[in-house]
Amino acid sequence: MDLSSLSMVFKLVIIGIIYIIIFTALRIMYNDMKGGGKARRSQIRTFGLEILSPGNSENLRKGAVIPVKGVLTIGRKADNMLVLDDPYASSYHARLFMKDEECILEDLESTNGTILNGERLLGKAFLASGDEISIGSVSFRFI
Amino acid sequence: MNDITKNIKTVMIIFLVLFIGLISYITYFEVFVGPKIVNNASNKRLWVQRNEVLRGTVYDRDMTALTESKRIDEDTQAREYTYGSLFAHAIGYVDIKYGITGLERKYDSELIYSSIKDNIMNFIKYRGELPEKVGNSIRTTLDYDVQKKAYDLLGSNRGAVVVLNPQTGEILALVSKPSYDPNSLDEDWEDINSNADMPLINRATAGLYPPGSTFKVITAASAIENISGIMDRTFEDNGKIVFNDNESLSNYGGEVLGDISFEGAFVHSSNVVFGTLGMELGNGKLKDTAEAFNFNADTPADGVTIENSVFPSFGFFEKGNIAQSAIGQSEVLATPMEMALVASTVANGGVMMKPYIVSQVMTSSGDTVKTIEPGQIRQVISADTASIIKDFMRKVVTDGTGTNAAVSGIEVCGKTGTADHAEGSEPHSWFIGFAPYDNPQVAVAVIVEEGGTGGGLAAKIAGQVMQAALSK
Amino acid sequence: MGADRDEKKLLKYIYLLCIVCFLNLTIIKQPVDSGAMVMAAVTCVMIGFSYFVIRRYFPEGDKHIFIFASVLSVIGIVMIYRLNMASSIKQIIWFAISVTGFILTVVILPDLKRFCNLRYLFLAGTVIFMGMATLIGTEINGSKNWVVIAGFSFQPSEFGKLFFVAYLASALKDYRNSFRELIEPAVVVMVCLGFMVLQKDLGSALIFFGISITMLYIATSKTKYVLTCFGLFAAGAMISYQLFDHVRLRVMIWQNPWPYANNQSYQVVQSMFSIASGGLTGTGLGLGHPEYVPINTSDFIFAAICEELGILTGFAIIIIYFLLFYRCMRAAVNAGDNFSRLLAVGFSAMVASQVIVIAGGVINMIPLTGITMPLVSYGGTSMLITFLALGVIQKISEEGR
Repeated sequence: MDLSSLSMVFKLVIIGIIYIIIFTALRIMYNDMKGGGKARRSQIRTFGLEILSPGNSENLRKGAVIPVKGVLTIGRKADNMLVLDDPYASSYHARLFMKDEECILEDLESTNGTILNGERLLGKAFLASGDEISIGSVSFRFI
Repeated sequence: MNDITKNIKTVMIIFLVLFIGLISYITYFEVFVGPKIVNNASNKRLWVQRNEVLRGTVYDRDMTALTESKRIDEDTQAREYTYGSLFAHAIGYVDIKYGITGLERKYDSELIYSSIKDNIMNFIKYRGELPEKVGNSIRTTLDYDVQKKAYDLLGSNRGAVVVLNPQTGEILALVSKPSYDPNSLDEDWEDINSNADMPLINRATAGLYPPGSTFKVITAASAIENISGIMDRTFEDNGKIVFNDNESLSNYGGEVLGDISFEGAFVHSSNVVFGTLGMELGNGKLKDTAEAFNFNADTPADGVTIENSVFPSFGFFEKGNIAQSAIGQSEVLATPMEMALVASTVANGGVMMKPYIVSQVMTSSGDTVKTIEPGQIRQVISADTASIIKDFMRKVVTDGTGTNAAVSGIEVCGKTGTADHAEGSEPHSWFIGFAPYDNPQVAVAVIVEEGGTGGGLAAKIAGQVMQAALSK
Repeated sequence: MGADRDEKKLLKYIYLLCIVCFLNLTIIKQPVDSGAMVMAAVTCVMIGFSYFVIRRYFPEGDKHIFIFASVLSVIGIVMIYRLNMASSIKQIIWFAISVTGFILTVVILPDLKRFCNLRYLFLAGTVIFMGMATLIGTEINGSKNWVVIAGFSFQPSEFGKLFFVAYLASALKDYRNSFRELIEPAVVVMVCLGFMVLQKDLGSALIFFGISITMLYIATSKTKYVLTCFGLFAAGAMISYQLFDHVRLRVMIWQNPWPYANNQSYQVVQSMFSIASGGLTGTGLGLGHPEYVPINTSDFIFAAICEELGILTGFAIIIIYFLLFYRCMRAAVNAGDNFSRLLAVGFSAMVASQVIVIAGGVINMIPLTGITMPLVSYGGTSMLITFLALGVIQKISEEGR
């Protein structure tokens, strides 16, 4: 009975340690996910509206990008975040807002409607990168 | 690249499923496939394990060593069978090339098991310098003298001899011929395998032969238990039963026995009477009795594997076959071990004992590890029936067909059998019996293939074997 | 800070594992083998140092990737030491080189976006490396995917894998719903698979297939393309079965290995005996007989581990690989641009597919192919490539934060 029989005991210890490593790692990951907050990646996905054609609005330039932080209201009235000086735009024409890291475009029952990718938008829709939005004579691309 | 998170989650789940599948398959493999393949001959690990310990010794009942193991080097040991071909079938052999058979195989784990206590004691005694670890020994029930006698008496005939103790089931001798020398497997393997007489087969436990008239013991038992008034009946034996234009059944040599009692018919082995009894009993009842004697069933045993003996089923109209089966012909087949058990059952008041070949397992230093106790299989026939048949069997040796089995000073009982098996060949010579009449100590079955009448060769061998067994 | 404490604990457990394993190896030989403890010390120092470097300079990145990779490497080094001491020393040297490569990748590689347009460079690299062995290769162990230069042998298909993933990433990153864009990558994939089959390296073919399908699905999200690919693969498999006898041989051995146990299926049969002899907890290091398994330090190391440390350890290894895969895919989720995303996915799929193919082959779940277990098996090129891939993923995980 030489010492090699001790391997019998060792093997159990080794297996135990390996599984402890697995469980500890799992616990860390689980805590990470639960903790959310600072462990999570910061919101670097910013959305924006790139202006494709400014139409009649004088305050807009082609190629400018308007960042979307949380909410963006669009309309003719001055208290909108994005003011469109366009006869075809309603006072409160549309708004973009964030929901669970997705951006939603909502038409606020405008007179002439909001065009999303060539079709009239009724109500709300998720926006995807590259979508084209037209309000009156102004058109944007969502990025 | 929409719904990127969803895609990645999908991919992760798919891989998770694959990984889980992998884990499940490994589990399935380990639990189900593993145990089946671990003993495969190509797996060297078993041989390494067998080699770690010097293999234990096999002893006969008087502690005569029948094997001897010597270590050659760290990786090999040599096994010598002291008496060569004498115990070849009973013990079997263990060889890295040719496999492991017989008792070597059945008690393999005991023979390579080295007692932990002994090892610890040795470790302490020798302070870390271990002497050779030796496996447990087994003490068999075999008796060297009886085995040798039976082996020599069979001579150059093919056949088998089984010697049992009817009261315990111990196997005193297990001989099968032709035999082979387990010490020279390498040199002889080609010859052994090309020999048409197949020396590797253990005829005693695996040879299936028509039992011939030895089966009349069973038919008689069936008749006594099922036909009332059988003891007082007189039969008319005119030498022949005719079934139809083509089939008939006659006594050996066409002998006519005339008016004869049941006892007479047994003692003089009347095929006519027993054939008639067979038809009277019908296939069903006779089969029931045969199956009580363990035909068509596995026989529980320790240390040996016994082939199942066969008793066929016939329709009520197959008169010819039914009659033939009652005299141990037609499709009836029995192993010599089975017929030895039949004899020992009669000897033991109708109780069949479980045959076993190992009585004790001991450590290399002699301490008993395990003792195997005798066990009953069942009460096959009533003690009264057994007693009647016992008387008949005594008369067979004193007045009947088995006089050649008589030994002076011993009251031998038995039944002869002359079994036809193939057109144009000599019949097999059978003898089953036990001795002494009062308190039987030994039961025997002898078959000499194509040896002629049972009352000839087989009876002579049986008598002398029983004498050898009883003289100890 | 609880997380920090847990991470330090994790590191300490790895040291403990290393020490316990080598302690075991020390005592199983007579006289006591102190070389094993030296190995333990060296390994622990290397892991500790690398972890420290990564933590200190790149705290944003994913810490678990290196942890899991080192656990697997430790198990590998321990087992290889038990099987063959000389190989173990080489393995530890390669481990050092590979970890250095890992760190360098994370440090030196500039923003991956710079690489995203080097599509044709990657294509060239892929074709060169994949084709190299077919043209100037030598046949070792039944597959012709080794190249011997000045005494050193390496497998160019390993390097080819890196270029392949990079190529596919750059080709698929701009996918915009048009089938035409897929034609060029499809051809490249088929050519690579063809090279692999010609080189009789069916394992690598399976891995490439796994990588391609995964990247395809991530890029296009279209299940029908994936199904089409499976169909093409099945067709390709059947054609190669008809054409090549080495494929037929593998399938024949897989279906019923027992009749050929001493000839063609010797390897997989011995592997199965090994695993069957282990049982749940194994025989214990040094007490089993993994030496009866051929190529036990590289291809069949999983069998040797299952024999001596039990299938529980086998499960643990598979779980750790999956966790590694999970962390790598997570880096992909957080990646900023499509190129990085596809790179991460591709490399993750590369490692995961390899594990499935070799573990499956060793237990005869799928036909046996001659590839190594990433990080665990003995093999310098394999370890280096895996660590380089992990390095890229680590870098991606940093950028993502």
